Amino acid sequence: MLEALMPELVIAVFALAVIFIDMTLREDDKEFLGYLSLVGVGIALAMVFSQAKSLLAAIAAKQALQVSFFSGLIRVDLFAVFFKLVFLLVALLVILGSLDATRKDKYKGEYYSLILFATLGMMFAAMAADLVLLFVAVELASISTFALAAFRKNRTGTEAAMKYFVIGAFSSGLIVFGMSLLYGLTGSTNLYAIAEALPKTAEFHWVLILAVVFLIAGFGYKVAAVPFHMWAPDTYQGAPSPVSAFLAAASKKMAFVALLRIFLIALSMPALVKEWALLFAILAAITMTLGNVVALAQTNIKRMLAYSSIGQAGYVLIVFALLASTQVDLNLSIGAGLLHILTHAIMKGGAFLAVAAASYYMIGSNLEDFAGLGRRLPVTALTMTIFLLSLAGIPFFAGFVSKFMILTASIAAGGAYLILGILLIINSVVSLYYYARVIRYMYFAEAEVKREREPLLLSVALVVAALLVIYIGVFPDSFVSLSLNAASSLFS
Amino acid sequence: MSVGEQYITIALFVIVGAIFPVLTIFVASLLRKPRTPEPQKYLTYECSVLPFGPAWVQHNVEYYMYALLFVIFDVETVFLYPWAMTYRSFGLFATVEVIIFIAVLALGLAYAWKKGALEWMRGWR
Amino acid sequence: MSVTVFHYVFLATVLFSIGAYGLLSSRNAVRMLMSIELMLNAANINLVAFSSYLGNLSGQAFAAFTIAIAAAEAGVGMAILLALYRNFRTVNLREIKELRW
Repeated sequence: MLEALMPELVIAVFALAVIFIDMTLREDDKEFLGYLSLVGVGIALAMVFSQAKSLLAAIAAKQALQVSFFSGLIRVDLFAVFFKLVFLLVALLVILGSLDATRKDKYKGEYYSLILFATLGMMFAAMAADLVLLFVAVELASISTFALAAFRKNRTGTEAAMKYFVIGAFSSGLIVFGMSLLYGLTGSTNLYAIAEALPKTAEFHWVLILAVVFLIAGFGYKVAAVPFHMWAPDTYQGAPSPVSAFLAAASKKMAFVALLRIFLIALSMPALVKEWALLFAILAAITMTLGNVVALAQTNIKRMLAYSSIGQAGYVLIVFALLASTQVDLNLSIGAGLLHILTHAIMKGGAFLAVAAASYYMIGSNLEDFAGLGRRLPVTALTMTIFLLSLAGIPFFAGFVSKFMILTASIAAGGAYLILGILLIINSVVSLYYYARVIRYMYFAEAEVKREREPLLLSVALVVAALLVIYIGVFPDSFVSLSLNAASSLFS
Repeated sequence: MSVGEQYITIALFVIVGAIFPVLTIFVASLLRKPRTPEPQKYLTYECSVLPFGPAWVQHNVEYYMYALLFVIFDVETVFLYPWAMTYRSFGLFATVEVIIFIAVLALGLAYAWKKGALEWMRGWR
Repeated sequence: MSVTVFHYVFLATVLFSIGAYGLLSSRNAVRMLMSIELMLNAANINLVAFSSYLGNLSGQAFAAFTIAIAAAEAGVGMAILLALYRNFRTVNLREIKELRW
């Protein structure tokens, strides 16, 4: 039982060790803590990788697919392991980038241990099969990221953190209230027990609808779906760039894992699915449209990336809408969402890290500041180009594969779901315009610049992310089958 | 017990609570005679010390550190109390978990101590 | 008519609504923190009432965790508030608009 939890234990021990060793070090030596947390995340990543391998082998041999323990509190299936891989990969890239990006900052011990604690919360959220654990895990990650956003304590940083905190706490209130209603209806906090008890609560259907609305609104804030998105641009712009990378690439994905677990397992009663799928369809349509259209008007690159990330969240929300359709295979649509979560985490995290690399040389995040970046910081500019093209959904990049899979699922669903697919295509075309604008500034704008030595570790993080984006784009098969298997492990 | 009976106790409390201050003020006004007005008698009562300055002052921000630490550590009893009530039936496993829990908390306290959060007015020395 | 679980849920809903209204309408960040506490505690009333009504304890355990999380959240929120005040000399969120396009 304990070996299934080893990656989490490693992260927890390293997080505590970082904050403990921080007390004994002088300010100049604290760089070491970054390397220490890098080692911790690396070990945990290797462990989760071997978990994924053994689970895939078990699926191939048609054996038991998951481990549950602590009386059903935790469920380690391929779905959980898939998300843990995403979170740890993002944490690895962010810590690697932060070693350079936060070189001049104080409070390094706090910074790295908060990243580790947030990662720990996300990993537990991925495994939670119980509302209590899910809430505690989501809050562990959220509260750590509130503090991370205010890490630099400057004007923009604290304003960003305050907005993030107020909205985050409001959404926690909504979530816990929705959960309390769900508990009151079914008498259990276990997701599978709730699913069993729900059909007996027909008398209080309106309370159930209320709980669904609370949960959608609460997690809608956390994923920054459109009526609930106002905080995201401000927070991503004001927070330090590596933290923005972590927020967009990991924190938001945690909200998706919680949404998937709650709605696909606890609230999967067919009569209910029809009702919430419609809500998600509306959310998805306005989220992707508004996110991409408003991104067109942005002159700040971090703000533009934030709006693009809102738009991309809309693409994932399509998947929830498709669940009501009987035409499309459940595993295909969920798998498409999972793959897009993975690819978006890598490319959006990479894009924010590229902005961090630029700000290392005091280059601002406005569009004009990036003029001539292609000659000034060639590696950063090239990897940024790759991430942006992938975000736009150009073939042979990772973003294309996952978008194509979502499109396939929505075409298979047919009927009114085609509208969502068409919106997806239109929005991708729109998004190409503002991504291409950044590329044009980097390579074709007039600017007096000279080449500079790029920060080594940050470049490594960028190159690793860019290579992953290209690898997934060119050889998508193993990743597609991984996400399909992860989707099917949710129900077995 | 019917609803009426349930609310009788509350009604009694409300009545007694309303009568009590009126009664004390009335008795005090009897004892206060004869009236000899002096300016000091009209000052705000502050534990028999003469009040100074306005009532709306900013409190020292150092209080905030204490409040914060108090809140964090106060709430941990929420977890310790149920364990203390049931540790006989849970045995060693729960005891070890609580020890880990307290160890993590102690690390937090050590951190606060090291950062000087437990010292009063360290910025003013 | 005696006090049933519905009365508690009604009370919790009213408290939650007051908290949500306070959060959305007030400009003062301190008042916002208080409203957040109100919302979380409304959920706690719900949880404990359901727990006693259903006769199982998981609701009370949930409430205990919510209390702890609310405290942690308040702690971090006040720390951010303090940093905000040092930068802007105000806690009125309408006056703080560095980030706007």
